[in-house]
Amino acid sequence: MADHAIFNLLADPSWLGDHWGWLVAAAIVVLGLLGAGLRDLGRFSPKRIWALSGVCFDESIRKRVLWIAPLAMLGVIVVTELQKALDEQDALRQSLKFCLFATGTVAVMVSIILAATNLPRDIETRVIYTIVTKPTTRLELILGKIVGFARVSLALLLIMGLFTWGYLRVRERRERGQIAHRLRDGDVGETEQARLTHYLDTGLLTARTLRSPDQFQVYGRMPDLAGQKRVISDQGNQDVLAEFSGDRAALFGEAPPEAPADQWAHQGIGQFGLVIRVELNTRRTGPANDQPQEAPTFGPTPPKPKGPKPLLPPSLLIDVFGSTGYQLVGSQQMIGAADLPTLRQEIADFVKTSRMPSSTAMQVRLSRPQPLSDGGQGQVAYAWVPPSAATRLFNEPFFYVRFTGASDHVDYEVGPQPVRVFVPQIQQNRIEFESPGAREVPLAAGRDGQPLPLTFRGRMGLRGGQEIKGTDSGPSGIGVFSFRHSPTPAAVNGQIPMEVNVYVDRAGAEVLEGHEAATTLDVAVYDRQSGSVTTQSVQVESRQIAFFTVPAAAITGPDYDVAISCPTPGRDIGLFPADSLQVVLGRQSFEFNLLKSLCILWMMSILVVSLAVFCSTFLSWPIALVLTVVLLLGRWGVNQLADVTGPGLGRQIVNEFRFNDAPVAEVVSTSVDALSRSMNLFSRVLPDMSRFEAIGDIEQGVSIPGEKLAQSLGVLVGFGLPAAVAAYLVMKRKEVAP
Amino acid sequence: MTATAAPRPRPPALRQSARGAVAILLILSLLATAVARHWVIAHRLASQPHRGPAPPTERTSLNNMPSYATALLLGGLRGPLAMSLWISSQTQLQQGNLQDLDTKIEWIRLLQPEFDAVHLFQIWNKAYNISVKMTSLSNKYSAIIDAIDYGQKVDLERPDDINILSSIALTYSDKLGNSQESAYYRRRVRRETQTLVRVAFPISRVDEFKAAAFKLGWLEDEAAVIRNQRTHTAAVLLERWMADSLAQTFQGPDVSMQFEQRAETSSNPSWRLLRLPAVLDDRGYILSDLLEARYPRPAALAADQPWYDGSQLQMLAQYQPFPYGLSTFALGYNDYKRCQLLQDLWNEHPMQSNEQVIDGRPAIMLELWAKDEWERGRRFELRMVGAIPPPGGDPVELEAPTAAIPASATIADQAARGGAEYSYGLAARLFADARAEFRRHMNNYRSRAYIYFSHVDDAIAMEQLMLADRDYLRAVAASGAARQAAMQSAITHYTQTQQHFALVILRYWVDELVQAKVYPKDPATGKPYTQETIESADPSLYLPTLDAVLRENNRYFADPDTGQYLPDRDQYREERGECLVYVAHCKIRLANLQPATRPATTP
Repeated sequence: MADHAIFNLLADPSWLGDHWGWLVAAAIVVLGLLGAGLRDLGRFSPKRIWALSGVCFDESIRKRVLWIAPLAMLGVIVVTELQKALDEQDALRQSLKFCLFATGTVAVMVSIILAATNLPRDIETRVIYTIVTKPTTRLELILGKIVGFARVSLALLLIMGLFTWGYLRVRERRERGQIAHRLRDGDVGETEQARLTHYLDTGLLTARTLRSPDQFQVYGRMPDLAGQKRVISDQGNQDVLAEFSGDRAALFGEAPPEAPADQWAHQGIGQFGLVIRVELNTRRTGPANDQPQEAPTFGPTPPKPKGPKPLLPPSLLIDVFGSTGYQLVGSQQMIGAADLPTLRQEIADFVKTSRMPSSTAMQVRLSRPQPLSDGGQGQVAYAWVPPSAATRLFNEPFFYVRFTGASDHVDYEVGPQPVRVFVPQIQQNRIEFESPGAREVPLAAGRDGQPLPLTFRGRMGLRGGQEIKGTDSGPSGIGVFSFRHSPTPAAVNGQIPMEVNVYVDRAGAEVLEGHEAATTLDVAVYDRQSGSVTTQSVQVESRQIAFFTVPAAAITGPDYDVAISCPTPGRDIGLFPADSLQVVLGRQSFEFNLLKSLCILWMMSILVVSLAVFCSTFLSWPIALVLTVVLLLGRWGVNQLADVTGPGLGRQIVNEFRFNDAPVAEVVSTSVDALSRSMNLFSRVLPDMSRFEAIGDIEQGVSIPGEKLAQSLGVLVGFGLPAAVAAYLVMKRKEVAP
Repeated sequence: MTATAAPRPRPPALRQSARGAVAILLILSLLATAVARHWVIAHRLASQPHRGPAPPTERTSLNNMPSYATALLLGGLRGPLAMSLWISSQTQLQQGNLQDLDTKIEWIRLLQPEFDAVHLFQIWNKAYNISVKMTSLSNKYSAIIDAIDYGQKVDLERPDDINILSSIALTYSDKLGNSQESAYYRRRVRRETQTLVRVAFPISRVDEFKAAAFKLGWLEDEAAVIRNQRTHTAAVLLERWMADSLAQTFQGPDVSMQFEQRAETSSNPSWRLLRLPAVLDDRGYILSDLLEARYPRPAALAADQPWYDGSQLQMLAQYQPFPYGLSTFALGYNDYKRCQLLQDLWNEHPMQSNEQVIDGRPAIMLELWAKDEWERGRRFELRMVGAIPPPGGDPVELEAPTAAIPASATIADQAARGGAEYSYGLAARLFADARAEFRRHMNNYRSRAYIYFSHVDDAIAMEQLMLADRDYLRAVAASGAARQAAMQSAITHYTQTQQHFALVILRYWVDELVQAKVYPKDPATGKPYTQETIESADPSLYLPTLDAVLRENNRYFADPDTGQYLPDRDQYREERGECLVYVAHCKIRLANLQPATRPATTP
């Protein structure tokens, strides 16, 4: 069985493509050690390595490299004294960042300098004679050097780590005193009061384990989470996306796979277009303001009918988006109608005149309530995508049909499957939209084979968030964050901590003398297991974390939803799916988190030492130094140039430098493109130093996850080990003593 | 193979003497540099004849280092470092990420201390671009006062700089005084410039405190009750006048009232101003260190000659005490006036505005300050009779409810009456000073003087209104002869106010064709008065002419078909309307005074 699995893995070319780096690294290690170093491997002695490393360590100490630590500490203190912060927590965060940055910089710089210069100097000063004339192997020599310098960097990291811990603890005490002082003096507004009190209670040096939501939807009204109906409200406040399969056979009909695109494009939707059918129910929540104006009439004015004028049904806006999220077919490019006969007539007119009628899907008026095939009542609207527009779906693996409200003061009640899409057929000169003649396009399926659920989104804000509006007359937009299979959060004093981080725009809210007018969010926690609902209010500031808690009884199972709405009028609240609401699963000690961070830095410095030692085996120390830096920063540098070095760089240079001679231009263009490609290729071989991310989480007070440590270890093993073996192979063939 | 001759070693004595010569040369160079620096500073001071002696000490700090010294210290990387900080700080701001932003701005300030343009941009950046990223008004406010704090720090390092001072003044006047949120900001500045009183009492009396304080205009959003669960006490910081009033109704052995001793912890690098530091002592006088002259006025200088003495609040000294706090416009006036003096006496030139703007600003600030006092007086007046003033809105809307307060009204809150009387008195004085400032500015820039004619006329009318209202309140509180005298004075001022506002309307806010129809004839020339000459008419004609104007307006701007008045066609309607509100205020007050006068005069 295992053989089969390995065989299957190797037979899969994509697996090889994804893991070729690991394979090359493993090949270097295995072939290097087994092929060329089997004898040295047999004589391998950890004791001798330790002894050799001790020599390196002692020599480094004699060189007083550890004196750099006080200098770095002084630098950190000076820099932190020159900082300015938003609040006390921000001050400590900045200080922590400076400390760890200084720690990492010192460790890496010392490692590079020591490791890149040591071997060439030993050879130059003939100190190496004293080692190689002893019964030590070259493998032990290389490993001894690496371990020795790793011990030096560890010593530096420990010193700097202790300083960081001590300094931050002292600073924390001072900042907490300052918070207490501010609260006592009443200097802070009501929004800040809760945040500062939280800092005072939990401390400023924390390590939270956060859980992000699995799903995020925005509805118009508070949904009945147990039921199937959802609401989007008013004109464009929310929209609904239904994802459909872009299977060519379903859309364009059967054709041989190697057939040219033209052949596909003239059948299926390329011939008849695409019909979208939306069914839902509506409910007026205020006065109708989208009634069409009466057309001016000539001649005597007819008498006005008595009684109130019957209201026309509300309107919808329908359009189609591609798999990349760009609009493929705009609503003004579709013909819309409330019923099939009207749609047929509009299409016939369009075919005759080739002009879009006035009734496009920009504002399709829904039908009056009518019986539906499932036995219920509903309102429907149709949109026909003409063939010329429908062929844009040719290369789409899937596509979205989006609809949104086009009338104000209306709730649109959406069922579980409100959108159906058909490829129509012509039968006996009559265009058939629904069964039996037409072919229905299936909804896109998830990994479990089930149709993907609908996506409900809020209005997209300029800053990329989905926005809900603040009103004091009932919610106008509710963001629902769903947590599934989540570990149970650890309660502190019977309370589960949560964090909310949103952006807030004040939209013309009145300012009254002496009133702060804080922005409040209403939070409701729906526990799926117990069915209970717990509500809470929290005051927020734009783009700053607000902390709140709910009773431990609010979450009893792994599945729960948290709904957010805003009762403060004149506010637009921007929500982000991944990080606007997070649940604190637990807390670790800051010291342990700092240890993890230092551990990542140490792994980075070991990699640096390995690469520097490798470079120094065949280069003089200044060149080895430079090459090590290039190897370390190469990938980062190329990533920085990613936008520039994409395809078309050669053509761009030819245009900018105005090469008019066609052959010269061609040579320059292809050469630049080739160089750019090879640079990108080369960068992929280099270690990804961004994996040694030691500061980001800890400075935000978040516990560094084990995956980050594993990632760092992966890069260290993937590059450090082959570099050490390569250094050994070079050293083995190098004549260093007579 | 050629043998190279070894270099002949220098005799050690010669090497040592050369070293000594170099050392002496270096020391001499240093001394020469110091002498040259002193000579340059003396020369610069001498070129500014009005400046007087230099301040006795100069602050020494990292920021005082010239940029070339910083460049040397940073190994020539000052420029690239500053450039990268600029780019990253602006990118961060665009992304709405405020973490580290203040640190970056601070570092830019330290790296580029000599560039006014940098400081002007950063003050603007903080006051406008960063504050707008906040939602809560208190956080917006703290971003704005952070901008002022930045400006004041630069002012300490580069004192007497017209650009920095005008930038601070602009923040006080435009951002805190005139922005959409100014109702909130202005009240906070008033409160925070004072030395506040900490009122402490047991937690069990919080409700009692709230009931008593609410009647005095206390707002919990502004002065929260801080509860200490450990000691079971609560504390509130109140303005002195409010604490004094409160002491009459909320008292007991467990209530303590003490002036707040601010334990500033600005030595902490993360310290950030969340409220303005107090500039007034417990009696409302400006703190002495803010009036400390760095350039003492020469004894021989005539009293009417302007002088810039370098003290921080020099221009406000003449108006103290300020028992109800300082207006943000007062602080704006102080800095703008300093700018104007620096421009006139020290020949400094503003970088981002012209001389005319700087010269005209003090007058405008005085006018705005006076109007701020006026509005505050109106609110006090309503509270005086137990009414709760509306928390926002147009101050003109306060005219009608205050006008209706009768002269025989029962005073519910004596402290509020005192506040109103103080505000009206100060406003009257400020309008008079504003008029003088406008005239000074108009003399300096005669070609543009016409812009300010209406300001001067407004100031005359408003000064009279404020004097009238002050006397009216005095009459309300007084009795006997004092009451009679106050009433008579109020009647005189209200009558003059009416006439002046009528004149303002007749001079500026009447359509030319209406003028031609209704303005009376000049007995001297026999021709009708025009808006330019109406001022020379008998003042008793102003009000009847105004009535005629209003009647004619109704005809002139009427729809020919329906006869209805069409306000949209009447281009001066709004300006005239505001003046008419004040005229109506006076009319009501005069009517109030007539019956009240009679019983007092007929015993």
